Amino acid sequence: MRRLVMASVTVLLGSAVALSAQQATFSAKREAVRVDVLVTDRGKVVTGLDAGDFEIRDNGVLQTIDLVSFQQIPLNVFLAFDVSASVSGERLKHLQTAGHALLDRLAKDDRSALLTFSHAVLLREGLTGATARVRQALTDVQPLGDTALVDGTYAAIMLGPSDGGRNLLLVFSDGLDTASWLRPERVLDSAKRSDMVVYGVSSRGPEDSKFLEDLTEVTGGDTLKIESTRDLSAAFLKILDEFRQRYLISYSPTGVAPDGWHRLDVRVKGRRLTVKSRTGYQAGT
Amino acid sequence: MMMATRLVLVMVGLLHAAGVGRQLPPPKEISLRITMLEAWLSAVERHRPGALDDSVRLISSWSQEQLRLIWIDVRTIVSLVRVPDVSLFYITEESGVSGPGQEGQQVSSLATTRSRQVLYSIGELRHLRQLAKTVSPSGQPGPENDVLKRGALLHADIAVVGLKAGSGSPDRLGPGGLTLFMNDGQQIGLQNTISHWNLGRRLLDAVRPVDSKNSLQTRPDPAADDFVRRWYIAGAAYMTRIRNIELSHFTRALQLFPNDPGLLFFAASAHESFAGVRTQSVMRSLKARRDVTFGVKDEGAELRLAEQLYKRALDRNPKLVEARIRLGRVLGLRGRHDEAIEQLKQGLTAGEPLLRYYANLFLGGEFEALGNGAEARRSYERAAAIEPLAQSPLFGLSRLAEQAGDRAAAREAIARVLQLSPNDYERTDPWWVYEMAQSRDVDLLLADIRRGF
Repeated sequence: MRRLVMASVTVLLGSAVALSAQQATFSAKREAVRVDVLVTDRGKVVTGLDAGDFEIRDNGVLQTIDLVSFQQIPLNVFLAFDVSASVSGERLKHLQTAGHALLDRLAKDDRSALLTFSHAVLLREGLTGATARVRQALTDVQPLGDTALVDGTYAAIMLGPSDGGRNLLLVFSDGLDTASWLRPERVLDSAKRSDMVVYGVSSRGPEDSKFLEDLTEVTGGDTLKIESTRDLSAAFLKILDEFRQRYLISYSPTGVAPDGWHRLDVRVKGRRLTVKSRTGYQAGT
Repeated sequence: MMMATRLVLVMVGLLHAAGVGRQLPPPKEISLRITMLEAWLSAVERHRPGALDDSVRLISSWSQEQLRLIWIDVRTIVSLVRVPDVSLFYITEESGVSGPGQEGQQVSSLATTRSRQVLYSIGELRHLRQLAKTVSPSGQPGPENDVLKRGALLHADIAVVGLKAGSGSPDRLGPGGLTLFMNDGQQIGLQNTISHWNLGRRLLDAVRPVDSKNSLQTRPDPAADDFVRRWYIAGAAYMTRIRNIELSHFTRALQLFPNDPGLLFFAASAHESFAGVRTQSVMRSLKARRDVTFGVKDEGAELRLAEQLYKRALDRNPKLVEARIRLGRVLGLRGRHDEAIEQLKQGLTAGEPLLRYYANLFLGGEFEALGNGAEARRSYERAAAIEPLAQSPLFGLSRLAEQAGDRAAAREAIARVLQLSPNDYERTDPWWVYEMAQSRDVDLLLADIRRGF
């Protein structure tokens, strides 16, 4: 399994934003860039680093890091689950059990949301601190129909608030996308402009899960392959635990163009640690 | 309506032929064989078209070998009606010991076609002559066509009512073969099944209208009979509807009616569907014997075939607007966006809202691909107006706004999606049923062939 260091980036906004999942306002003013980073050493997460340990280049230009935070910011956890007909019977039970296990492990200030996709994309529960409601919504799902993985993922990305919180999107799918309207490459393009870190869990082969692989790559997440849905709980908890151990690096871009695509390169100084960061961010829009 | 998540392909039965009547059967089997033929003729006569009646129940319980013998013996009766003093009988069917398979016929590469003599005992032949007299008391050709057509109708009804038929075998001759079951882009089974459509095709291959211009009195001329054409169209529509595609049905249809726009249209849509991810994913990882092929090509080749067939359909009937819309989509998938737009625009004035929806939705995608956001937005908005409960145009609108940097508008469009009914059963989007929407008139087409019997 490909597991290294992950990073995501967020363009901090100059003004406050509304937090409703469906009604947010945004400012185009850019003040700082945040990069969500996970550092590992031969597969083990490395903690205890501070701003002086990191080096970040924005379009090749070395930047001055203002702040590194760790485990301090509450999480917004978006669950986007495939509930097509293939996820029925035992598979559904495994998915529900895994989802409940993840929800049980959320901290007091964390929030969660549940979106499902079969052929239809449904918001079962919007972003809320009331975990019990999300649990109940997950319990109530009934598998049906085809799989609109790309549409469902796009909707979940759009739900993410740009409120300075840390947004984790966890996508599970056991099927091939057979019902989406949106084309994968266009959603990948949109994902580059969001501040979601996407983790995928898939039971499909590499060719059939290419979209998830690409999506997690550009957002700084990772794709976990499972042999059976029995492995879902372990996969979900691993993702959550890993996400909590990420660093959030903030810097004010200097010496680079104010808009367009910015390529990012994040490293830990003087140590042979594995650092994988989001490939870049879109500025100016 | 939910789209079924299973697609089935049927491979026509083949391989390792047992010679037909290579040995004279023992007396007891003679009786049984003729008895079964009489039962089949009776079932055909009594069958109420479209009904799940005793005829359907009886014949659907028969084995592949029994049905094969029926087909052989019916052909014999047809010969006896047309040329009463004939005493030598031949049949042609696929066998599979050598030679390459025919392109596009979904048969093993080992399959080939051979003619064989059918041997009967004197007693059997006497019975068969009596049955031929029953079919045509006047001794004149004509009524045997009704038996063939009614027989094809009965077997179509067996396929349609979906009674569990006996299992077939790819290693024996007859109307059976391998069926590949797929779900969610995965192979979930490969089973031997009997195809009643296949038996219907075999029966109809013997039809010869009394006014046939063919000078050979014994030579079938199914292409001269309009019922045969309509039977093939109804079959193609039904297979499309339940996504149980027997490619050999479409292939034979186009051999008989190469210029029929309706059949060209359905054949094109089958190839368009084969190019889709559902089929392609399974074909990439197909687990089957090495000599088994289902005739499905890669995505690019299937799209090329679809384009050619849609164009042929439109050459014959330029007013076939649905073919034009689908051709537009195929051209778009092939990266020819300007040509796609040209075709799709002609679908904007289609009479059916369903077709206008598809035309606008696909136009949205094509304009988007060309970077024309304004036209793409207008197209998606028109599609959304036609189908307010559909999510696809809203996704298109959201994505356009997001790309333009208007995240608020992007989220607003997604909010509209999420405000649609939370009940899956109440949600509708014609995009979800695009692969079978062209078969929406299947009930009318089936009623059409049942009429008059």
